[in-house]
Amino acid sequence: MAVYERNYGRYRGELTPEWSRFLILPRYAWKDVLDSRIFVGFLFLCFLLPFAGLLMIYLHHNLAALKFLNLPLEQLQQALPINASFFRRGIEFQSWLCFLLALSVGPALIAPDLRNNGLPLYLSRPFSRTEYVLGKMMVLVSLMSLITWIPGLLLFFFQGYLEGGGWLADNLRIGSAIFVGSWSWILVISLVVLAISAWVKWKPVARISLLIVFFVLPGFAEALNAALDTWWGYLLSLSTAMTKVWAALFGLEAGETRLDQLPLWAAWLTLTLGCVLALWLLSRRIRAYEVVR
Amino acid sequence: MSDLTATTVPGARAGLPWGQWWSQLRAIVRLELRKGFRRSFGLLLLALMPPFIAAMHMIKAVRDTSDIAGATQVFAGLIYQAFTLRIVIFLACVLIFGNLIRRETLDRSLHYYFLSPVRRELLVVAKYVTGLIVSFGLFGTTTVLAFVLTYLPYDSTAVSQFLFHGPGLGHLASYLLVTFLACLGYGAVFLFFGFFFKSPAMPALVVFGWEGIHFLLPPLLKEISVIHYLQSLCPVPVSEGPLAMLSDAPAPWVSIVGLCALAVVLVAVSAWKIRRMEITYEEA
Repeated sequence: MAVYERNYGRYRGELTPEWSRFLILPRYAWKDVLDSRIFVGFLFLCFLLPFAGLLMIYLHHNLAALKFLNLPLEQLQQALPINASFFRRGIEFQSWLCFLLALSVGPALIAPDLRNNGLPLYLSRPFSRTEYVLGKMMVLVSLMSLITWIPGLLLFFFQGYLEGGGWLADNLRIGSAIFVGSWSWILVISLVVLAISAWVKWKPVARISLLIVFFVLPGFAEALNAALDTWWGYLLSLSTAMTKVWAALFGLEAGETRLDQLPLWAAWLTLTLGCVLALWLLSRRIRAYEVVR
Repeated sequence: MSDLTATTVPGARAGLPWGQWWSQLRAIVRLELRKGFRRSFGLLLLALMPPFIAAMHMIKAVRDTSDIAGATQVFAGLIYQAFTLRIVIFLACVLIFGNLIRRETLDRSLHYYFLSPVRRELLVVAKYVTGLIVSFGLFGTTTVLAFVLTYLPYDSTAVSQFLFHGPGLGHLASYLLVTFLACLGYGAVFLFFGFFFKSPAMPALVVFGWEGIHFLLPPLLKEISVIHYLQSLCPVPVSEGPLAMLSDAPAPWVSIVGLCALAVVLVAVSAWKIRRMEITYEEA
């Protein structure tokens, strides 16, 4: 073909539906994340506890296996009953693994785009700021869901299936606690991580900032509470507020005198304010152009 | 040729350029102080937390202004040991020392140092000294400020008695020494990690966990932690709870010499590491 005959033609292929455009970002991010063997190993380890839970539930309903292990059923039921406390302990442990996951994946999500002026490349396309944030958040949400509410609910339904006799209906609160609690924590942690990633230029510093948010603030809250003999300090600590929310959702006590004094509305308020602040920080930072006066 | 050898060898031995190294070290420290810590709002915020707690404690303390022993316990247990030492100074050291070299790599400016006629070991030492100046300057001030604020609402006669005729000033000096040694020890640990890990956050989390469960560890394992030595230098002993494993506290000189030796060894390993370092400015 002669050079003068070469021409640029408009793309005539199928367009990605508007509603699902944000899913393009996680598709590439997952590829990057799963390229790391260390991360895949860590993700594999995250399933160990749900697997142990699965075995435990199975053992509770399999007398032959118990007999083989020489373990009396009563003793097992007494030591580790399958109840709200069992699911709460498991999901709280998994939520700390979520933190580690966010620590390793989160800081690399937005910072490189901002540092290398890559944001205009996204936003010059039919792609809004909300979709950008939603897409980046999906990376964390999907990975965290994989290790929290999905295995949690699977275990819940497995227990309901094996127990039978209306166990599921009687313990619907456990199922809803796993779902609502996990989503609350996932949303909080994802937004905070994205906000830090948007404001802190370098990944190592962003990771340390995350440690500061989740370790210094609870320590500060505890010290403030002890100094003033109050619970108000907990309003600064997202992880402590979440502990209270977990306990309330499962209908259990938080386990610490001062934390039990913290009203549930205050814990929800802390989480909500944390999310709002993170969203505000994101909206200030995620812009295609920055006018410097 | 033999004359040249005869004159060169003793000359080189006698002429270790200490003066030049000293001036280079001062120049790098000055540059680093201007460049690296000019807008460290996060560090400043961290440093302000303990005095803020002490100031909040003032509100409660005005109810009983004669309880100096109570104030001593609050400062020792709550403000200093539980919060400032274990959380604030620890994480500040991660932030300061963990990024001393890594930040240069990310900024793609390390090669400027490597191309200048400065020994790489000197660069490491200078950066470590800079971190030490910043961390101790910041958290030494924090310690003094929190100490003053804790005792401020109390009866002035009792406080002056405690400070000038009692153990008060000795306590403050001990806390300052512990702060300095904490910056020295944790600083060396995180400078060392900065050479072996891309992000110091992950090893810091492991060390944080280890230091956090220090009270549960058997005596032999307790000795492999910085907090074990720092705690023994604190003037007011604080209960570690009913689950704590009891062990003998090391003698003060062992703690001081031990932490200094740890710092020297880790900085030396870091210096050895930087000799073999090649810059690859990969995507960070």
